[in-house]
Amino acid sequence: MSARRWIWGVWILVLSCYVVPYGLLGVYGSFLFWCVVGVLVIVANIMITRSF
Amino acid sequence: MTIELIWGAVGIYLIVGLGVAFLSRARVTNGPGVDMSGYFLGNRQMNGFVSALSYSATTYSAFMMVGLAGLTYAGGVGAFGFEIVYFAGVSLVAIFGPRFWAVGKRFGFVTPSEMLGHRYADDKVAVATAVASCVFLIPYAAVQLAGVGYLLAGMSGGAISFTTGVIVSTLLAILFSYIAGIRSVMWTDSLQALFMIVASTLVALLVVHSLGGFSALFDTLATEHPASLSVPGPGLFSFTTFLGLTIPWFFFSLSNPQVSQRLFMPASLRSMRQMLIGFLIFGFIYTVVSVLWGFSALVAFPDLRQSDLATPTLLASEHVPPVLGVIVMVGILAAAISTIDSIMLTLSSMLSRDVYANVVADASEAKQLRVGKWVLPVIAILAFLFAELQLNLIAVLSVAASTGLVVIVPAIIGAFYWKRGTAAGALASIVGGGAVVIYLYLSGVKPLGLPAGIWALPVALALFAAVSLVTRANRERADEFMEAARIVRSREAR
Repeated sequence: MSARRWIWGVWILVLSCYVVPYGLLGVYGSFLFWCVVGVLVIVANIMITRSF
Repeated sequence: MTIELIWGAVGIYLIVGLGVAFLSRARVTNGPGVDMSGYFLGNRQMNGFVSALSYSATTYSAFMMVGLAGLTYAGGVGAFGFEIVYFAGVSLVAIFGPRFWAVGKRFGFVTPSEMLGHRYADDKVAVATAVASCVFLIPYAAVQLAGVGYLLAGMSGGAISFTTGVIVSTLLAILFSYIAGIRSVMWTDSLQALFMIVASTLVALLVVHSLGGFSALFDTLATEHPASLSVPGPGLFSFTTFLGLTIPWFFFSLSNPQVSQRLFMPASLRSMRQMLIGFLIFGFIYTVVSVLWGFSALVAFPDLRQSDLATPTLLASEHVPPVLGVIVMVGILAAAISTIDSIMLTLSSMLSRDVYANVVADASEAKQLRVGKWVLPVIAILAFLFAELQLNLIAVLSVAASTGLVVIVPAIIGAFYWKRGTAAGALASIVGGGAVVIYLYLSGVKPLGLPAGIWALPVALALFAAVSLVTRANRERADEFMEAARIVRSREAR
């Protein structure tokens, strides 16, 4: 997958940070949700920077 | 917690820190013929591991273990969300980092403001960016110093005065940044980062264990404080408050010069990658630990009158043995000092490179460096005086720091992506946007009921775009600048 797609992935992830907690989890609900977002940010950045 | 124990811990921290600072001395920062790039950027030869730890220590101040824990205590899991959105914003380094690095090498930039002045072919842009950074960051540093003063006074039951705490932290910040410039800052930062993460994690785990473990902690929260485990929770994190906090902080890695200057320093892009990934791992652990710390305080002491007392109360309680409590206290002290010394060093480089060198006709590299070294303690003394005086304006400016600096972001993004961006547009967005932020914070006005944190970026963006469209862009300079950044972009698209 290209770096550009990973960058889009991060932006979608960030957008979901706003929408999901307030839209749905606003409910192991939100605490774990934010933990998962944090881990996904790390994974996304590892993938983006593979081309560095 | 006895005063002897506190001074003993601070003394050991001081001796080890100064030892590391002296060991970090090298030819690039202390040898003959040292220049601005050597003293302030380590000659762009910093390795990834030290860069990661230093970036972490610079970014994470005393706010984490005191402020974020307090926000969690008062507002619940929304504080975790706010910090994770900021954390996601550091992904901007993956996009802009290689571009900063490439143009920095190509044109020899020392400061982010110098980069903007060059890109828009107008020294006034560099001066405005440097001055705006000082207006917001010196008060921010002053509040960090005051935080250390309150921490030492609170932990010692008043035996160590507020002023003594502020003097100790000011002197440490000056020494750590003066001894070997960026090398002593980065090496002492690395030591402090390791200390911060190890001490806070171990003690947080100990506190959670003393409260019955993770399951018991969250079961208690779910039954006795259910609002703290949902958003918007107890009410602190309404959607507009959440947006007002997260929008400026999302762009922290670009808007704050003490971290964006770090993008010029790695020896290679491989080192930059190590810096980014290392920071993200550190930041995630430190964020979770700070949030757990706030939740633990909520379970152990649910009736505190002020949420900022969560950490000091927990440290002084029976849940934390005195020796471990004083170790965490030094960890918080280290978090504050490592942020302050980086801010001071960056601001001194901006004042000498972007203000002095643009005002004085024959400002050679040697003269700029001399001015930078003289300005450094002056900035520290200013921050010290602001911390001592506790002026209302200083408190306002420090709170407005992240919002005030976000007005620089449109000019930075435009530098790399919009050829029509002009110097007039950049000046309008930085000066006009900054003035709007200060007015909104001082007056308390909330247009349409929205906080300044939501208005700052759209106002700056509108000013940048509108003024740029009615003024003439220097296309030749834009092409040259973007071509230098394209070394990276052309390969990235493959």
